[in-house]
Amino acid sequence: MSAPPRTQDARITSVWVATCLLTLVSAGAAAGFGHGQAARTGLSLAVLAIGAAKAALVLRDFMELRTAPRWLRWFGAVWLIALFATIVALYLG
Amino acid sequence: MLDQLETTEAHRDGHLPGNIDMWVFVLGDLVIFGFYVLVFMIYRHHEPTLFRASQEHLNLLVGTVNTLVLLTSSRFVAQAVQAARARDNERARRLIALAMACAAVFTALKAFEWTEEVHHGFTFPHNDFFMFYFALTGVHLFHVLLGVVVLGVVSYNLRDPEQGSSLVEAAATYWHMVDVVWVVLFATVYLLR
Repeated sequence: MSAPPRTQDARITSVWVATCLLTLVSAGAAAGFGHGQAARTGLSLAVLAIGAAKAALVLRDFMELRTAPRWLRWFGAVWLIALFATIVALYLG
Repeated sequence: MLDQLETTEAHRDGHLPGNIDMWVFVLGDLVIFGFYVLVFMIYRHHEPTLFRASQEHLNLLVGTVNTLVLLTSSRFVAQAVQAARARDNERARRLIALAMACAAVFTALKAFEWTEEVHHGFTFPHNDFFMFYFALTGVHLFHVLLGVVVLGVVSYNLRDPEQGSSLVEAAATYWHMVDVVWVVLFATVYLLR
């Protein structure tokens, strides 16, 4: 049902490294925000996309939705997509 | 034969970490937090200039470090689940202790951050942005502290070598939910411009 402990530990470490790097990239992007509207909107959308990717990684690999029952995987996916789609719509609206 | 069929069915339909009670609580919390964030975004939609100007007063460095701290705590908790499944309860307890230390760092940095904002005059009633900032991060911090209690109880129970991994899985489910919520708050409250 599940991978050997060493493989799981390696996966957990990889996800941790990826989410930390994504955090630094998004913080770096936010720190470099200029005053131009177009650049600000572009960087904000990138920041939201990175946030969604990080949340997806935590849900999938830390909360183990990857190997969870189908209804739970669907719940996680629908929650995440609906939340970030609405956030983007309200940001752009 | 029937047992074999049930096992195959369970395998195909996946494994539910922890127990259904914790998942009902966690999924409900995710939905509620999602609504909080959407209400924040609706207010932001009506006052974008005020929200953008107020966000620039937040301490981005502290917010970033706290995100890294919480992600690190989630890593320790995820590894604690693996250790408990391998029946290495002592390793699981050490990893949970590291996660609790991360929570202490997160709380201390949050206290520093709030103190700094209040010192500069950015209090709860200052404007709509700071009202949401203190409310959202406050409710989140309450969940972090509740998570520390949950992790402490699990660590205590893991002293029993016969204790299975289900309890650790349930606590981990809660702890990662706290992490997911923070990831969303960090993107919308701290970074969005």
